[in-house]
This record gives sequence, C-alpha cells and structure tokens, in this order.
Amino acid sequence: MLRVRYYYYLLYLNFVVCIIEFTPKLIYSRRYTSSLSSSLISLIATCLLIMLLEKHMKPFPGQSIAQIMNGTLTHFFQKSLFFCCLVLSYGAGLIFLISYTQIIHRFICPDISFGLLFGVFLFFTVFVSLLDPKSTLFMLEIIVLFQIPVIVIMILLFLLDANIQVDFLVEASSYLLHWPSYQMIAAGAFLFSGYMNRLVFNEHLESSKPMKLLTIVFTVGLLLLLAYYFIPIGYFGLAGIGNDNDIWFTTTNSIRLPHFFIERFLVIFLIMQLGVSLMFVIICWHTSLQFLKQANLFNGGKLKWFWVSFLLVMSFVLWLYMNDSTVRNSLSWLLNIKLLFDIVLVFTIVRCARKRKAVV
Amino acid sequence: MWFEGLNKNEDFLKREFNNRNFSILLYYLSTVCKEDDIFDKLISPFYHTELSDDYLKYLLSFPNGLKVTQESEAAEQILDGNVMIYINGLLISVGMKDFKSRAIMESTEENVLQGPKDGLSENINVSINLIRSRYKRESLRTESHSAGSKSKIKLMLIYDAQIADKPALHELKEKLSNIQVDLIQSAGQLQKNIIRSTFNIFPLFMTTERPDRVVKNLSEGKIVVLIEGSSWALIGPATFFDFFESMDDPVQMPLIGQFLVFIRYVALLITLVLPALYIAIISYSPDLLKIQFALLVAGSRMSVPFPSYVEIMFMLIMTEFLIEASIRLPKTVSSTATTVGGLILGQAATEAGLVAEVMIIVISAVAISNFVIPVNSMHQAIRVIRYPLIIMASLLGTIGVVIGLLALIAYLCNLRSLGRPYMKLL
Repeated sequence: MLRVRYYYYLLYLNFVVCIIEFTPKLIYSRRYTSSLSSSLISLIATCLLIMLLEKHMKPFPGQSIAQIMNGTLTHFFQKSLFFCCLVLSYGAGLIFLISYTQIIHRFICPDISFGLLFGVFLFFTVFVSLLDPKSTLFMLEIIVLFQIPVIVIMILLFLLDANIQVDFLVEASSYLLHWPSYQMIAAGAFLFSGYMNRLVFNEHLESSKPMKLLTIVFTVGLLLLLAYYFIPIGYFGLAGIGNDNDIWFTTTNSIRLPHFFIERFLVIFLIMQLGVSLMFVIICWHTSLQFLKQANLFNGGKLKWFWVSFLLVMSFVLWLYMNDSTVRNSLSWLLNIKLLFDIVLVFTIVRCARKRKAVV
Repeated sequence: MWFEGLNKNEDFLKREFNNRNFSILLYYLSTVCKEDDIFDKLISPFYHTELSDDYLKYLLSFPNGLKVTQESEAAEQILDGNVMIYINGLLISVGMKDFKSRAIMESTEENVLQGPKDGLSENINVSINLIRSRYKRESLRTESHSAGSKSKIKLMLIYDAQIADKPALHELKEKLSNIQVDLIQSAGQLQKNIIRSTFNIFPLFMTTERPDRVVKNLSEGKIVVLIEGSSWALIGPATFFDFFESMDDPVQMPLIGQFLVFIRYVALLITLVLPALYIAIISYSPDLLKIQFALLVAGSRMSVPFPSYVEIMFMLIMTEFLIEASIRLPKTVSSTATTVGGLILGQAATEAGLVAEVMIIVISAVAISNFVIPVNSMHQAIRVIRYPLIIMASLLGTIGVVIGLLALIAYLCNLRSLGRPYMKLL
C-alpha cells in the first residue's frame, strides 16, 4: 500500500493543470457576474464531497471499485457506471490533449506540424497509461515535485512585480456577492475533482483521515484559487482579460529572467507544464483503462491491444473534427455532466458503505 | 573402475597405500589440492594407525569430512578440490582445496579518499571473512547456491535474516535456481541472467568490490550474492538513487556529503540532457536564449557546414572512441591517445571550422560529468541513453527532449528490482 501523499498529488495535479489551461476561458467568461462566488462555492461543495467519499471509503481498504460495489449493485448497473466513468475520463483526457497541443504549437514550436505533435503526444500518453497503477503514481510524484518549485517561483515573481494593479484586484473582488450559476460551479468543481481518482487507485492507496485531508485541501485550494484567479486580473484588469484564450501563457510570456541564460520564463513554465499536462492525460486514460479492467474487458493480450488501437484510432479521428470552438463547447458540456455524475458516484459509494455496515 | 570421466585427466591421481592391517585408495586432482596437506593430514597418520575403523573415525573428524554414496556426487567433490578416500568399502570426502586467488587487494574501480581501501577477493571465504569482520551479528546468514550448468560456479547468498526483505529473498532464490546457462564467471553476467531482459540497459543490481559497501547494504536489509572467482558482489534490491552514492559520503560532514550527492545529480542532468538541448536550441528554438548568447553561438557556428545533430553526433562518437581506446590500450600508450584525441582533434576540428567552439565545451562538459557518476554500470547506461534523447531532439526540438525525458522517467518508474520499485522518489 502506498502512502496517502499520492492522493494529494492527484488532487494537486488536477487543480494545477485545469486552472492554467482549461478553465480560465470558462471562468473569466462570467467575471462580471457569477465567477468568483461560484468558484468559492464549488470549493466548499467539493470539500464536502471529498469528506463524504473519504469517510465512506474507509471500510474498503485495498479494494477495487468493483469489489466495493459487489453485493450492492447489479453487474449491469456496475458496468454502466464504469462505462460512463470511462467515457468521461477519456473525453477529459482527449479534450485536454488537443487543447494543450494547440498551446504548445502556438507558443513553443509553430514550425513543427500540428499533426506530428499531436501524434507524438498521443502515442506517448497511450503507451504510458498502460503502466501499472503503482508505476503511474511513482511517475506522478516525480513530475509534481519537480513542478512545484517552478510554480512557487512564478507566484513569487508575480507577487513582487510592480506592474500588478491593486485597483484591478479590488474591482474584481467587488463581484463576490453575485448569485452563483450551475455552469460556473461545475467548472470550479472540475478543478478539485482529482478526488475521484480514489475510486481507481483505492487498491494501492492507504485510507486518509478525512478531517486532516479536508483542512489541507480547503486551505491550499483556497490559496491557489485566489492566486490563480487574481494574478492575471492584477496584470490586465477585468476588461483586459476578455479576449485572450490563453491568458496564463500571455501573462507568463511577459516575465523575463535577466540573470538566467534562458530569458523567457514562459519557456521554462511551458516545459514544466507540458510534463504536468501530459501526466494529467495519462492519469485520465489510465483511469479509463482501469475501468475497462474492472468491467473485465481488458484482460488478455489480444483484447488489450484491441483497446489500445481503438484508443489511438478514436483519438486521431476525433482530433480531425475538433477545432478551437468545438474543444471549448465540448469542454463545457463535459464539465456540466461530470459534476452531476461525480455526485451520483459519491452517493453510490455511500450506499455501498451503508449496506456493508448493515451486513456486518 | 571408478571416475571414468576424470581418469583421462593428467592431474587426476589415484594412489594406493598399504600398511600391515589395511589399505586405502586416494582419488584427487593434484592441481587444485594441497599435496603437502594430503601427506601431512592423510598419508602420514595412515601409517601410524593400526585399525581401519580408527582411521575412518579420524577421517570423519575433519570439519568437512563426509561419507559419499553416489559416484557422481564424489566426482563433483573431487572437482571442488576434495580428496576421496576409499576405505572399508566406503568413500569419504575430505576438503584439501587450494584454489589460487590474489591476496586481499586494494579496490581499484571504486576509489575513495578516506574510506577503507581493501576490496573483495576472488576467494569466497576471504570475502566472507572481510564481511564478517565488519558485520558481527548473529542474524547474518550465508547460503550456498550454484549456477551455470557447465561452470557449476559456487554462489554465496548473504543477508541479515532479521531485516532482509523476505519476498525479495524468495524471488532471488527462485531466479537463481532458474538460471539456465552454461557459464557464469562474473557478477555482471549473473545479473544479466537474473534480469533476463534484452532491452533493459539500467543495472537493477548494484555491483561492488568494496566490503564496506556490502556491509552498509546488508545493514539496510539488502541481499548480497558473492561469486566464486570474481571479486565483485551483486547487491539487490537496488534503486536508481543507490547508484549515485559513493562510500565517501558517510565519511564527510553531513552537509558536504549532501552537496556531493547533489553535484552528482547535476552531472547526471548535464550529461543526459546537454547534447540534446544543444541540438534543440540551435536547430529549433534559438529564441530561448538571451540575444547576446544566441549571437555568440551563431557566430561560432558560422563556418560549420553541417546541421547541429551531425556536428554533435560526430564529436560524441569521437569521445566514445577515445574512452574505449583509453580503457583497452596499454597504460603507456593510452596517455598519448588521449592527448592526440582530446587536444589535437578538438582544436584542429574547431580551427578547420568543422565544429563550433561552443560545441567543444558542450562535449567536454558532457564527458566530464559522465565520469562523476560513481558506479560504473550506471554511467554506462547513461552513456547509451543519451542517444535516443539526441534523436528525439533532432526530430522535435525542445518538445522532443521533454517527451524523451518523460518517457525515460516512465520507463524507470516501471522497473522493479526484486519486486521493489526502482525509481521511487521519497
């Protein structure tokens, strides 16, 4: 059994990847109305869901999701649930991969063909997602621990920057008291949705102490949320961030490192972010494959390679039909569904735990 | 007629002795037994003993005296340096072996500044002696195994029964018993046969010739395999990070020790990434550098007619030649070779405009930092793994380097040494 720190890495990875590349487009789209209040509410809501899930996962140490659900749900219902989980995590991974390939193509290597870049990322992520869960977690640890110092330096550079306008921040915070909207809450909740990985990695992870976990997630989550929401606003103001899709990269592109042999901080940031982002896709697709395994559809050599080829071909075909706007639209669809589905899953686990308790 | 197989050997002796009451037959290989000992301990007492039963008791009183019933077993004992004595219809084996090996030598491959200087011996008993003198615990176990269908080489498994990792021990024993190969002569060969993977280039076991490293690992619950005839021990399970520790580190003050380890990881990064990064920056993204630096590099490459990857491959392969040549050449010639190769080739190549001056600095930095890695098997692995990264950089630039590194991390994370993770950060 691995220590519970890997669970924190999963939470952190999900947050840091989504906040930078995924959700700014969505969250800032309603910055004059419900964004800030919805984000804070989503933090509280997810913290409650995390506590509920962790508390009710405790009776099942070292058990897979299929073992947990056995006896409570019928096989058909279990398989349907796994199928939905599989599609959602695969979709999240694919949308993310396409979106990040666009960013890399735009900012680092516009001269390499987009198709080649996507192909390389696709092959890499598909094959690495075939690793066993423990190896995936070891890799996650290395990547997250190497990324944290870069993020800390970045936040410090921002905080010490004289170009940040306090007026912008005060203006943005004045929109706190607006009524939240479901779509914004769903977008915010997605930032913290790394806790759902517990379902996949429970076999290999120790149980956590829910209260301790909650305190850490809430504190770190709040600090990061505020930092990530306000830093670009501090630079560009509420009006300035409106038209830019990759606001975080535009912001970091303005930082220079005069005393380092690489001058643009963006390059270092993007390279670290590339590692983290691909890791996120790997975790998403690893999750999908694990759900296939739970549904007994991933055993044996031939079946395994069938699914791998299917994954490759499917991703490639979908990529051909996806441009900037389809990526954004499918993302908001996915987020809206995912929050509801996560709630359903958490309450299913609660039901399983209660039933187990009643039997014992 | 006994020992048909051995009979044709020049050094196989069959000697018969008679006294007034009884007779004996001795079978042994004269080249691996001590003849003086045979005379003093077997022949001389024979003429002073009246009864055959007394002489039999005397033979069985030797620490390694035992009755042998099968002829095949007896032949093995003879090959192992024992003398077979035929008396009263019984075969008794007595150890008189005299396998030659060096006296305890200084460790030559893993040098340290202040630690102990002695190295393990080719003779297993001497090596165990060195280990036991440093590790005096009752729970230290030594178990004998053998490997190689022809060489039948003796292996000695050493571990601390209290703290050794039981599943790892079980796995190692199973793997040792499954080895099916004719000859095993060294620790590296044994490692290869235990791992049995064609594409793996990373050492999954630590190889060492230092008794202090063996003892340190024993005290951490690791398992040691000594091989007869080789002064190198195999230690497992190992992690990637074990290969960056030198036996000098515990001798130093803590901060200095940590600094030295840190320096080695920096060297690892340089030797692994610098050539690939050079290609990526020069050929794909010179805009990453500061303007003055970018101009300096561009200026030094003005006369170079090749793309950067040809330039770097050419120089890297030259360096590999130089390293190989200086290892294999006689010591008197090797210094000339390095001077010719390093100095003249480097300087002449830049003056002729074939390679950039900056590139020479890059290649020298890469070569020097490679030697900083303290364990030979790891620095060989790193030497090879550079090339896929260079190919990735040539094809995809900076992104290629990052993808290559991520793939390397994934590969390392997926490796297991005796069931334990090879790359686990904390």
